[in-house]
Amino acid sequence: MKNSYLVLSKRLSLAFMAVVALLNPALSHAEEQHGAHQHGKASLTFVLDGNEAELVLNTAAANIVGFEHQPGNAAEQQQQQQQLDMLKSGAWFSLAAAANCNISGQDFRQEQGSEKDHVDLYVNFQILCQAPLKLSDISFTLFSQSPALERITVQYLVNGEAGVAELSAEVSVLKFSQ
Amino acid sequence: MLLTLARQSLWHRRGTVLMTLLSLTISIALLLGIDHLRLEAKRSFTSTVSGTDLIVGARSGQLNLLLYSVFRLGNATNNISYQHYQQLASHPQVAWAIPMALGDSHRGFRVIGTNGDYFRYFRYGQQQQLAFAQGQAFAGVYQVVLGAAVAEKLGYQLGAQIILSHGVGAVSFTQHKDQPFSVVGILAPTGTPVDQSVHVSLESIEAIHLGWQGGTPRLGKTPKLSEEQLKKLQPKVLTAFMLGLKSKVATFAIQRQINEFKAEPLTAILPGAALAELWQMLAMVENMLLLVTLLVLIAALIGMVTTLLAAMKERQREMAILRAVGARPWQLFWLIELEVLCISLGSMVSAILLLCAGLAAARPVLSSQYGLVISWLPWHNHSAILLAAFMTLALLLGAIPSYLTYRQSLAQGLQVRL
Repeated sequence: MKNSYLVLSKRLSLAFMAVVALLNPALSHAEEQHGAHQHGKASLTFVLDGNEAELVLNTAAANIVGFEHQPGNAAEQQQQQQQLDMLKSGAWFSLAAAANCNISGQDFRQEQGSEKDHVDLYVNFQILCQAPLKLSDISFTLFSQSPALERITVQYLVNGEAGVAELSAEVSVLKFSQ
Repeated sequence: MLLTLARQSLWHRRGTVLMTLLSLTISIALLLGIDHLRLEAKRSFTSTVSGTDLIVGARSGQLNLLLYSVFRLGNATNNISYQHYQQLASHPQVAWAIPMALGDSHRGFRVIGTNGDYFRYFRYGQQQQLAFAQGQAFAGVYQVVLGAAVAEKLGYQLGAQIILSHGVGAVSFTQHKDQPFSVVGILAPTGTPVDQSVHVSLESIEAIHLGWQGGTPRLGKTPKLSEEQLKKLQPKVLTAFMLGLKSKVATFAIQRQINEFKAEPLTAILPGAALAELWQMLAMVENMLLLVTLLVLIAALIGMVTTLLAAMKERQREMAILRAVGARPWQLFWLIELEVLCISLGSMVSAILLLCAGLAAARPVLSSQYGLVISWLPWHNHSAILLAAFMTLALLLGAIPSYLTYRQSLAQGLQVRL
């Protein structure tokens, strides 16, 4: 329901922008799109094909760090650093041990959102699995490490099977139907 | 010995037993049937999109996009530009792309404007490719390739001339009458919505709408276009396109890139994930349906027990005589249980037969109306467990009259009552 409101309001705002663009030729190229920036919610994708896997988390910075403004004092500075290091290290998820997977690469990006003071974080892990067929689940400890985070919406594609799931502190294990 | 007794006793009361059997048959058929339809519909839907990595359309919800692009259900929110399609199709990670322009129909069957890649790359089921039953792919404008069900239902052969209509209703008042198409190919049956589709080239879609303004035909006759004009036709808009990727690992990265595509608001979906979302939404309805069916089944079983209990009165003498000629109380217990077993087994067999017949009869309608191809055999891995559970429940409930018979058999039966 919430999504359809989002889409609707997005459409309305697009229509509004189109009208503005028509009225003002100078604006006609200033096309802008707003991604969903939601506090408390993050989205995650996981794909496994052959030995290769990739896990990507996209979240508002506030979910991880606790705030989105520039750190004001040393304590905030330290908190931010600590939380970002934790996110980058990948120490917030573990793949089923039987699959024998290791992180082989990592990418991290911070993006200023369209509105001021909104920062989005992207973290991307490349993973290699020795026994990919045995990957039955991934468990997440991120909810206890980042208390501001409430939900993660997941889309996955594992050995050709696609699916969706929603994780929370109560349901923190992503199980794949085998 | 006991079995013969049970059988003959049942035969003696065949009127009430038959009714019990019938109500059990219907409820078991309902249980197995709903379970079967649910699983088969999922299988049928999943096999349709098995070979496609991403589907791209104008920005909308993922279910909406999936339903109109693949299952021809509902309508597109918006069109997308052909130029952007070409741009994305030439992405280094993209192995193949199939464009689709929807919006026209032929006697209720949807028309898809596409190109030769559709026949080359579209995969369904276990990575099966589309095959031609007759003829070949369209090579130019005013040529059409029919899905198996379209050709069969409308009785078209190669070379037939057909008229396309604007819009997707079964009856259309705006027909592209002046520009007939000839059938050049008929596809082999696939068991997917492809069977219900009429395929033409993107240029053909452009040709029949040439000179139209805002969805209405221009006044006067649109003559068949000259060779010169046909060559100049360029597709401008599409409804959606399917993508096959070189590496599945890139799927989400490409999806993200398309969703963030700056020039046009687009949505890319993973068909499997969109379907999973659909099943999640329907799970509650499914469970309610199964629950209701289960309750119907239990009601039928209780009905059976009631009939058996009611029969106890009239069978008191029968039981007493059996006891008098040497039957032990536990034998009487098993006699009733055997009767229950006979009734439940009988209703199971007749339920499966009924269901097979029903499915076989409904298949043509389901496949032509809903594009669902359902197997006529309602048997799955867990069907045996379901039936075993039913059997156990029947025997447990059957134990009530059996036990009462066991208790009362001798004591009351031989008394002469006035």
